[in-house]
This record gives sequence, C-alpha cells and structure tokens, in this order.
Amino acid sequence: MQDSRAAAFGFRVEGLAPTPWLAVVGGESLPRLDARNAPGEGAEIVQPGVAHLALPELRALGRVALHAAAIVVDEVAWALIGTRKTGKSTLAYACHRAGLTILTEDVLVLEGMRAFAGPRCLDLRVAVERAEIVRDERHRVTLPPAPAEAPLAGVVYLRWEDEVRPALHPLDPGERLTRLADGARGDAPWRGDIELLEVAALPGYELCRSQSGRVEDAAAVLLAELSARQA
Amino acid sequence: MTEHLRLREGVHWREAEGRVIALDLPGGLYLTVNRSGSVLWPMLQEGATRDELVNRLAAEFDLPPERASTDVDAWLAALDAQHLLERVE
Repeated sequence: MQDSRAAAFGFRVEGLAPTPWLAVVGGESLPRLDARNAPGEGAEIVQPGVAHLALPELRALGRVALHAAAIVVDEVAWALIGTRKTGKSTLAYACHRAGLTILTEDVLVLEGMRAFAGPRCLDLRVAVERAEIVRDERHRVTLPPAPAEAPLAGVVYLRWEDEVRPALHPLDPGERLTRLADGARGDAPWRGDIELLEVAALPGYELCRSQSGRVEDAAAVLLAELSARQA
Repeated sequence: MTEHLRLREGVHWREAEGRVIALDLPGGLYLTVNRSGSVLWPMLQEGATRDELVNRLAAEFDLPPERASTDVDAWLAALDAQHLLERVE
C-alpha cells in the first residue's frame, strides 16, 4: 500500500498533467479546485464538505463518489454509509481514537474498487478533546496522514436502533444495492452508476447501535468484527 | 426458427453470493433478482429459449415441468414489463 502524506491533502488523479493532484485552494472566501498545485504548495482543504466541489470533476474523469466515510482495517478500506445524523463522523472519530486510519470522512472517491484518501480532518457536531472550533460550530479534529489509496473491501451501513448492544449483521446483495441506490437518490451525478453494482457486490453489513450507547463500544465491535471477517 | 430471449443492451449485472443484482442503464433502474431468477439470469446474457429456461428451473429446483413452465412465464412477463428483454431468431 502506497503511503503518501501529500495524498491526504487532495485527491490524487492519475493522468492529469502536469501533476496528478486535484487540490482545493483559495481559502474560505472562494474555494476552488486546482490541478496545477501539488498539495503542500498552496493547497489546503477548507473543510471536509468542500470535497463535494470535486464531484463533477471526478465524474468527468470516470471516478465515482459516495457520501461516505472510510476506515482502513488491515490495509483494506471499509466504507461507512449512513443517512444524515446516523453518526458517521462520530463513529469515524471513535475509530481514529482506537488507532485506526481514517481514509476519508465525508466523500469517498472510487476508481474501480480503489478508494482514495480524502481531507485530513473530521468536523464533528460534538465537542471533543484537542478540537478546533470552526464555522457552523463544528469541532475540527486534524487527522494523521493516510495511505493515498486502499482497496475497498466492503461497506458498513449505519443504523440507529433503540436499546440494543452494538452488533454487525450481514446484508444480502439486494439489500445492499437498495441502500446504495437510496443513498444516491436525488443526487444526479451518482445515479445510474455501474460502479454501484460493483460496490453492492462487495460484502456489506449493517451496524446497529443505540443512540444512548457509547460510540467507543460501537467502534470496538466494528473493528473486531471486520478484522475477524477478513481473517 | 426458435425464438431466443436475451437481455437488452444496456442491462448490466453482477452476481454476489448466488444472487443477481442489475442495472438497466437506459432506464436508470436498479434491480435485485430473486434466487430462482438468479439461476436463470446468466442464460439470458447469451440468449436462451423459453424451453431451455423451463428445463433449467425444473432441474435446479426439482420442479414438475408444468410448475416450472408457469413460473418461467411469470418471470419473463415481469422482465418484459420492465423492457429488459429482446427477442432474436
């Protein structure tokens, strides 16, 4: 697995001259995408959400993007997909605290079944240690470098359920496709993607947990189960 | 000439864990195929006659020919309703 500090600060785009990088530049006033600057040469990620700016560009380059976080477990990536307020970022943060690599927090870019690193920060709705408060009252945690890319092993769909212990349940291919397609609904660039079939064909699980439960417990179950299933 | 049924151009599919999932690209429609349909679906890639489908279903699930025939006709009608099939001689 290629390790690249720089990859963490932009989208690596092969075949794009003169650099293989698609960086977000311009500060908070006018963020824009720039293929000229390599990350570290004036490029910065304003906030994770700005990664959405890259979607049309990526689509034109034959890549697809999912609204998902991704973690790296034993050198492969697992996407975390959930509707709004299913605790995707908070779970990613718990995984980070447990020592896992966060590949991306909000937008998962795929080429084939290769998952690319995203912005190197997490914006949380809740206060956490060593976080910087940024606009919209989000609490930003800086993430360490990540591999430039990792093979996508599968998807974990997040769901709240009342009064349950965290548990991971397998989903059948049809249910996986339904959830992926539902997640893409209303977002035109993500509809009708053959790649969604490829993603739905990968292993998929549902992580059920209670909103009153500790997110650290859910992260521990997630890591243990994914590691066991890969072994 | 015997009529062969096959998937229309633009219908993409994958098999996972014995189940077929598909995308009708022109229609923008995602599909999940049930377990018995998933047995027959790959035959529609290259093209198959109705009788070949009936025989395959009967053999796979140990069904009487009449029952397999009824099930295949219902399944083909459902695929036709979604405009997923084309017929070639």
